[in-house]
This record gives sequence, C-alpha cells and structure tokens, in this order.
Amino acid sequence: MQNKIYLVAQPNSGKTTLFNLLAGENCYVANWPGKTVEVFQAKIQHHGKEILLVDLPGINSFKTLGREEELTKEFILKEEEGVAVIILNGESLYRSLYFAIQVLEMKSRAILAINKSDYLDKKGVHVNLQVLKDRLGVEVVQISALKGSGINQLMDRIMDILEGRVKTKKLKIDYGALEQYIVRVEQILGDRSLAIKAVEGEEEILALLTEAQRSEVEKIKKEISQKFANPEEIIAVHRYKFVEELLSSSVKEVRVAKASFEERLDNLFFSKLGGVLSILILFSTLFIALSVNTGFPLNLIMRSIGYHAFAEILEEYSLAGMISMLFGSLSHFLDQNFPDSVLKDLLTNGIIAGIGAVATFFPLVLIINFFVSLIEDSGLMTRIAISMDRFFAIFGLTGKSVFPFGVNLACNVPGVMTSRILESDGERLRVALASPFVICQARLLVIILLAVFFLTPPLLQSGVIVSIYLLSTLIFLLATKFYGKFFREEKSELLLEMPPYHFPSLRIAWWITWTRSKSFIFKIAQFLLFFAIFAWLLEYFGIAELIGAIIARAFSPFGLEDPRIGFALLMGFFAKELIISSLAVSFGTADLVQISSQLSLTIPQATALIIFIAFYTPCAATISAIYSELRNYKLLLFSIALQLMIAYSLAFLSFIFLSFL
Amino acid sequence: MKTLENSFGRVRIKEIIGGRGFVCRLADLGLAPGQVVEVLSNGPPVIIKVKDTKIAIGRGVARKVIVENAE
Repeated sequence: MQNKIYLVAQPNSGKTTLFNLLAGENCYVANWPGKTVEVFQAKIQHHGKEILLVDLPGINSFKTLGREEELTKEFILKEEEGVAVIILNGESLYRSLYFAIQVLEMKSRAILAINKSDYLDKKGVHVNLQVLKDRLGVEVVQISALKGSGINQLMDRIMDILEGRVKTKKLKIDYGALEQYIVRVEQILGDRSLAIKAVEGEEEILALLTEAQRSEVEKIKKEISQKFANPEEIIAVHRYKFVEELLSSSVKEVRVAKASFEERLDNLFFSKLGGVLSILILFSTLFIALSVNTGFPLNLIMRSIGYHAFAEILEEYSLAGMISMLFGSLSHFLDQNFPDSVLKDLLTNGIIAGIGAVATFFPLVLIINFFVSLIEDSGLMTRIAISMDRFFAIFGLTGKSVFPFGVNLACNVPGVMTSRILESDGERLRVALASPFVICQARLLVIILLAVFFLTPPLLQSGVIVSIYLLSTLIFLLATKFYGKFFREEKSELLLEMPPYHFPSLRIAWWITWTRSKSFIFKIAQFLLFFAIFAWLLEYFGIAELIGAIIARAFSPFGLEDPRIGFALLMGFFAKELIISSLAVSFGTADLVQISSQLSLTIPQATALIIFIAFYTPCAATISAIYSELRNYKLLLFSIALQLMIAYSLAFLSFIFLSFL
Repeated sequence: MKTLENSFGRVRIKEIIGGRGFVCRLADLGLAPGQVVEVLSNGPPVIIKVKDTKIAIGRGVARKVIVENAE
C-alpha cells in the first residue's frame, strides 16, 4: 500500500506555502482523469518512508458547483486510505473550523494543522490543542508553514495515522430538530455523512442510489420540507453553534490587539480616495512591468527629455528585445548556411518564428504573474478589488476584474490568464472572452505608427488614439455583459474574505509565478506553433495574397481596395506587429513615409483603417489563450466573428462621419 | 426592511433570502441566521466583520440578508 496524504484547505490558509515547504523541488502537475483542474503532486520522504503528497485545489465550500469543489469532494469521499491534512487559517479560525468540521464529518482519517501560529503568537491568541483534539476526535497540530515550525511534529502525527498507531473517528454533530430525519435517512443509506448531504439537498448523492432507496429518501425529504422552509440553513446554524462552543472552550485571547496601521490603511481603501490609490498602485506596477519587458513606455519618456542613448539601451537590452534578437540571429544563421529548400523556409519562417513568438511572450507572462502574485499574497488584491467594485458593478462585474483589465492593457495573453483570479466561472469566462477589445501594447505601437505617418494633423492623431482607448474600454465592459448570456450570469457579485496584510514571501511568489507561467506557456505553445505553420503555408503557396485580395474587396466601400493592405490585415490577425513588417515587404521599403505617399490615403480612409486595426482580433496567441480557458470552439469562433464585425462597423461609421465633415 | 445594505454597527442576522447554493455559500463565510455581525462600511461594497474576519459583499448580496438589532 502506498502512503498518500492530501492537503485540503480554503484559499488564504497557506496551503501553497505548506505544500511548497514539504515538496521542495519534487513537485509535478498531475492531470486528473476527466478534469481540467490542475493538481500538484510530489513524492516526499519522512524518516525514510515514501509518501505521495497531493495538493487539492483550495476551495471555500462544498456546496458550490465549481470544478475545484467537485474534485476535492470526490477525493475526500472516495480516497479511503489516504490521510486528509486539513489546514486551518490561524487568522480566521472561526471560518476555517466551519470548513474543517464538514471534512471531518465525511472522513475520519484526517489531521488538523492550525497554520500561521506566528500570527496567533503575535496577537496573543492561545489555542488549547488538547480540547480541540478531544472534541473533534482527530489529532491537532499548530504549525507555521512560512517559518517552518511544527512541520516535523505534523509529519510524525501523519505517520502515526498512516501506520495505524492512532485511532481517529468521524465527527458527529447534533442537528437538533433535523436529527430524527437524518437518522432515518442514515438507516437507508448506511452512512451518516451521506445522509446529512442528502438532507442538505445535494442532488449528486441521490443519483448514487437505487430506485427504491431514492423514493424512500424523497419521502423523508418531503416530510422535512413540510415542516422546515430551509433545512440547509438549520444545518448551517447547528454547525456554527458547534464551532462557537468549540472555540469558546479552546481559545483564549491574552492580549487585545488595538486599531493599528492596518485598520487605517483599510479605512483609506474604503473611502472615496480608495479608487485613486488603487489606480495609482496598478498603473505604477504596470509601468514597471512593461518597462522591464520592452523598454516601452520608459524609452519614450527618456527620449522626450533628451536621453536618447539611454532610451536605445533600454530598447536593446529589454527582455523582449534580447529574445527576438536571439531568434532573429538563429533564422539568419540557418538562412546563410543551408541551401534553399522548402524545409529551410518552413524552419526559418514557420517553426522558428512560432517558437520565437512563444518565447517573446514568456518574459511578460512571467513578470505579470510575479506582480499579480505579490499583490495577491500581500492582501492588497482584495482591497483594490473592493475600491474598484462600485465602478465595475455598473457592468455586472466585481471589482476584481480590474486586474485582468489592467493586464490586458499590457498584453491580452497574460490578461486572459489573469481572469483566473475571478471567483465565479461565469465572470472568469465573460472577462476572458471580452479581453481582445482592450487595446494592448503591441496594437498601441502599430496604431501610433500608422497615426503618425498616415494622419497629418497632430490634433487628429491624438484625438483618434484617445477615442480608440475610451471606446475600447466601453466596448470591453459592454461585451462582458453581453457574453454573460452564454453563462447564465450577467451579474457577478462580490463576496470576498479580506486576509490581513502581510509582507509577501518572495519565495512563494516566485514559486507561484513559475508554476503558473510554465503550465500556461506549454498550453498555448502548441496552438501558437500551429498558427505559425498555418500562416507559413498560406504565404508559401500564395494563398495569403489571394485572401488579402478578398479582404481588400471587403474594404472597397472605403476605397481601400489595395491588396497589399488586405494582406497586411491578414498577417495582423496572427500578430499585430506583422502589419508593419508585411507592409514593408509588399511595398519594398521600410520607410512609412514612402508607403504613406504611395497609398495616398485620405483622412477618413486612414482613420477607418486605424480603427479597424485597433478593434479586430488581436493575435493568434490571444485566441489560443482564450481557447485554453474556454474549451469551446463554437463560442470562440463566434467571439472572433463579433470582433471582426464590431471593428468593421466602427471603421465604417468613422469613415462616414469624417467624410461628412 | 432592515438588511445588511442599510444598517450599520452590530446586527443579528434574521434570515437569508435565496436558493440553496446561495444560502450555503454565505454560511461558509460565517453568515447564517442567529449570527451577530458588525457592519463597518455601507460601501458599496458593504464591509462586515464576522468574528475575526472582514468580508466584502456586493450590494445585491447585502440586500438579501435580513437583520435585526443585536441586543
């Protein structure tokens, strides 16, 4: 028999920290059969015995129907041999215990680990472990995963359970008026925890029964519903009563903490100034992240105040700059040293370009994940979400959506990925699907270049760019509302627990960053490679020019029937930067002044073109990212069609509007 | 009607209006009938203190939690 332990906890309880501490470098992501949730596992050793450590996803409750909850519940109910390590958050014992007793009702082979003992010490809270142990029927240990204290003791107790040296028993809570019904259902089902679940109204339990059993249980449930309006509420009340008695007999607060700096900071966030403060934090973080990655926008600022040399160094030695240089020289090397062939062309212009695209995304994904995990871990995330909630609530989103929105301003790829921090599945997918409407940095560069060279009046240049930004924000927000129709959730409500502030642990932030970025990049890499080879095929066989001509036909109402523009727009579908380079190739010059004079676009034409570029599908990478979240081809294709339609209509409207002026 | 949305200070939860999933989700956060909670800010979002934890809840949720004065 294999020794198996698994970590069960609510978010914010320090589960990740404990897992990281126990697993060290030996961790790997396991693909759970039939599930899209990622589960981390590790093989660890304790006193020479090998143990399989499983990190179940952090969940708030067993009632909601998310995929994480389902997986965790299934694991607890079906895994009979493993030991459940229930991690309690020392910062909110009351709520953690309410969660823990629900696990203990289902499972006897379990142990409680009260985490954040350093916090309890600091606040002068004393927990009587013996009382807890007697009342709950399982071992209770106090640990600090961050400081590494109590871990050995925890492992020793776990080994005791695994090797049968201690006996544990299932928890039994008295449910008062409901008790007689629970006992009757238990006689039918043969298990008390299942009986409680059935009385609570969990449909999955009923599905497991035979026809005869089910009708018996349904009969009892009918009796209950005649007497009580809300049986699940009665169950909750009894569980809380149990927890309250448990805590009053086992926890003593020695010192009373007084209103502190934290309280004052909270009050600032909840005041009218909170929104301003949050935006300041978000934008300065974004500014730093972007400048490290591409040099932009710091390079523009340096240039405008006269430090040209410094701006050039920034551009050349930014992460994205160095990576694209590396891949550029690799293709160049292959091009120089091998004879011309289809294979070489595929390799240099298809495959290496595709891998290069993945590689250039990696630093940005890494940097953004790092900042997001710092903000998350410090407790700032909830405060920022709260201060932004008033605004986002207008569009049926919660304040947490400000994070994916802000990241989208940098790049839609990590932006889509950041939508994962949102609590409900509905809100997460709504935001992911609407993300392409937020103008990212790559698109900004393209539209700035085109505006500068194709639109001469400076007032019009800035006017067009500012209106694009305002419009794109509005369309993003409206689109999230619209996509809600597909998930039966047009309005998401904030429901957040606020963790105390703490200084983020760099070790943990880095670990989270690394694992999140790695799994994400591998997921989108295959799609990106597919798109790169696909684009190469189109170009190699001359199909791209054909499609370009068809696209140009669609733009004939604007007088933009030049097939070279159509071709550039097709390439822009794969990556926005390609618009400039494919224009350069098909016009035989990299000088935008010359291209502009050859095209000789009128102001309405140029504006329509810029607006179309700003709003249509951003790039293949974003499509891949959205697909890996959504897993629904139809909806994905629909969203792309919607993007093209909105971009085209906006271009058309602006063309007509400016033509009349 | 007095709800979490329009009250302030210490109150006792009387009733939660909503489906099974909703009631249970709130119960997991410490919001169940009979519990005494402290409303810290009417927001939106409404900020409340339940035992040792602060919780932020949207206006729509707050409106569904009926409360009475805690004696």
